[in-house]
Amino acid sequence: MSNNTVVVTDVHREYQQGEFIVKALQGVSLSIEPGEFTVLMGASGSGKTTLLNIIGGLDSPTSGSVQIDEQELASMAPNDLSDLRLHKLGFVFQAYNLIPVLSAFENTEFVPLMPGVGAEERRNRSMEMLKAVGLAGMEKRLPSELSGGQQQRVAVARALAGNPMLILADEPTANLDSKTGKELIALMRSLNEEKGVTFIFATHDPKVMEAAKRIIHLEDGKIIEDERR
Amino acid sequence: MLLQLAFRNLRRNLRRTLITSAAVGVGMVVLILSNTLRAGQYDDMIDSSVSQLAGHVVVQHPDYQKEQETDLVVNEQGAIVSALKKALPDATITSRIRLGGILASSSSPTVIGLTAVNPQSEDVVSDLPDKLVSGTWVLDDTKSIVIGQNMADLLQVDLGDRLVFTTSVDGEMNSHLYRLSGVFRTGAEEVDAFTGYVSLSSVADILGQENTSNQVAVHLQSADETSAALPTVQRVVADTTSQELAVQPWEEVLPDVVAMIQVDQVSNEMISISLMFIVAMGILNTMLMNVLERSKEFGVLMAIGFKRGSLFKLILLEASLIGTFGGVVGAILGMAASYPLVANGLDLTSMMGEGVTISGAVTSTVIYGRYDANWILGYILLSVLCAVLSALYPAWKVQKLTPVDAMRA
Repeated sequence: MSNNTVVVTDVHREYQQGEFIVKALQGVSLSIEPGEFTVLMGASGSGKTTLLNIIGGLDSPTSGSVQIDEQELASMAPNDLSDLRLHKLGFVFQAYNLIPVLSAFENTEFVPLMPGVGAEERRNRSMEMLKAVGLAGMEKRLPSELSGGQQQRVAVARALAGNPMLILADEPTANLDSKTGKELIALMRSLNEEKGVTFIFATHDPKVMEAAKRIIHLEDGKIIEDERR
Repeated sequence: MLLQLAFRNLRRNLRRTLITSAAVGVGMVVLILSNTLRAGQYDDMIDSSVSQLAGHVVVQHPDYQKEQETDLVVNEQGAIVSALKKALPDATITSRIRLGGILASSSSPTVIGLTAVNPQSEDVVSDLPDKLVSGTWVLDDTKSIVIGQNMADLLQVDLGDRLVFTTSVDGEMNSHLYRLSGVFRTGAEEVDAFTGYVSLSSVADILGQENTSNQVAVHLQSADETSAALPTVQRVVADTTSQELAVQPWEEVLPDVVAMIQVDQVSNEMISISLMFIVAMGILNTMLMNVLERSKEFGVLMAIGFKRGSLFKLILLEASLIGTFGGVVGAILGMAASYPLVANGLDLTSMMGEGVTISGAVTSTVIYGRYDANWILGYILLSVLCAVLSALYPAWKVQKLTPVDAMRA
C-alpha cells in the first residue's frame, strides 16, 4: 500500500492501426505524490497524452496497472470510473472542451451538480473558482463569447469545482498566446501551492516546464528521464 | 439538469431541430386529417345504420338476428315500448316489422322490402322523412305507404294512386291495399328502387296478429350511452314480459357495420404505422448525425464524470422533446387543416351521387369530419414514442464509446 496519488506500474498500451501495431506505451512505471506539479514531456507520439488518458481512466492499458488514491482502475466498472473522475479527478484539455450550451458559471457548476451538491454550496463553490481564475463578472457568458484564454480558465475552474485531488492537463497552453499561457500556468501553480491540488501536465511548452517541480521525459512510449527540481 | 441540457442542445441547432420536428409534424397533420375524416365517416355509418336498421339497443326474438323471418316477433311490443319510454325518457323507442313481398300498381308489379313502423317515433330517428320529394311521411293509418322515387317511376304511380302489397304468411298469400302518400329519394339506387314504409297498424291484419313487431329498438342520444342503457333495457324487458327475448347492443345487431369499421381501422392503423416508420427513419438519421457530430462533447462529458446511463437518457430526452414538440405543433396544424372538413364536410356527391348504402343503410356522400380527442392524444404519444425509439440506436452507440474514443471521433 502506498500513499501516492498515482501509481503506474509497467503499463503498456498498444493500438492496432491497419495492419500495424503501434506501441504507444512500453512498460511505463511511475509514482506521483500528493501536491506534485509534474510535467510529462516529449515529442509528438512519445506517449504523453496516452499516459495521461490512462491515468485519468479515459483509456485502458493493454497491460500493467494504474492506481489512483490506492484504487486499481482495471478492476473498476465504467460507472465507478465515472464516479472516480467526478470526485477525485479534474481534466483540462488542449481544446478547452467546454459544454457549448452552458455559460461559464453553468459549465463550472455542472461538476458539483452531477453528484447532487446542494444549490447554495454549488453556487458558492463555482463563483469562488471563477473568481480564482480571474473570471468574476463573466459568469453568464457562453464559451463562444469568451476568448481562448478565458475558455481555458473556465476549464480550470470546472476542473477545480469538484474539489479534485488530481488535475490532469493535456497541452493546456497549446492554443493560447504566450502571455495568456503564462498567466494560466501561474494560476495553476498558485492553486497547487494554496490548495495542495496535484497537477500532471502533458506538454512540450517550455513555460510549463519552467514552473514544474518534476519533469518526466518520454520517448517512444518509455520514460527516459525523471527529473525532480 | 438533463432537461435543461437537452433543451439547450436542441436550441443550439435550431434549424435541424425544427426540420426534424417538422417531419414529425407533417406526419401528424396527415394522420389527423385522415383520422378526423374517418371518425366522421364512422359516426355517419353507425348513425345511419343504427337509425335505419336497428337502434342502439334492440329487443328481438332470440332467433330473429339469425333467421330474419317476419314471424319471429316480440309479442307484447306495446307494453315494452311504454315501459321503455318511462324508464328512458330521453330515448326514442321504435318498433318495426320487416316483410318481403310484391307491390303492384295498375300498370306493373315489383319486389319490395316493406318496413312497418311507428310513424311518429320513426320520424324522430330516421332521416328518410327529410328526403321526401313529394307527399307526406307515413301516417298512422292503415292505408298510407311511402316508397322510393325509382320504385314510383317503375310502378308509374302518383300520390293517391292505389298499390296492392302481397306477401306470404304461414304459406298463404295475403294482400293489403295502400294509397301512395309519399315518395322519397335517398340517391341510393337499391333503397329508392326496393324499399317502402307503412304503419305498424296496417300490417296487423296481413300478419293476423296485433301488437307485435320484429324489433323494439331504443335510440339513444349517442352510441356512447349504449353500454349504460343496456342493463336498464334488459331489466325493463324482464319486468314487462315473460317471453324470452334477446336484448342486444347495436354492435351485435349490426355485425357487418362493426366488421367494416374494424377492417377500415386496421388498414388505417397500418398506414399510420408505415407513415410513422418513415418519420422515425428521418429522426433516426438526424439523431445519428447529431450524435456523431457531438461525439467529442459526449467524450468530454464522460471525462468529467457524466455516467453513460445519463448520456443515454440525455439523447432519449432530446428525441422525446423533438417528438413532443413536433407532435403537439403537428396536432394543432392537423386540427386546423381538418377544420374545413369538420365545418363544411367533404362533398363526394359529384363522384358518388347523393347517397350510398352501407350494409343496407343509406349514408350521406357529404362526409363531415370529427375531431377524436383520444386518437389525437394517441398520435402525440405515438410521435413521442417514435422519436424515442428512433433515438435508441444512436444513444446505445454513444454510450458504448470509451471517453477517449468519443473525444477522438
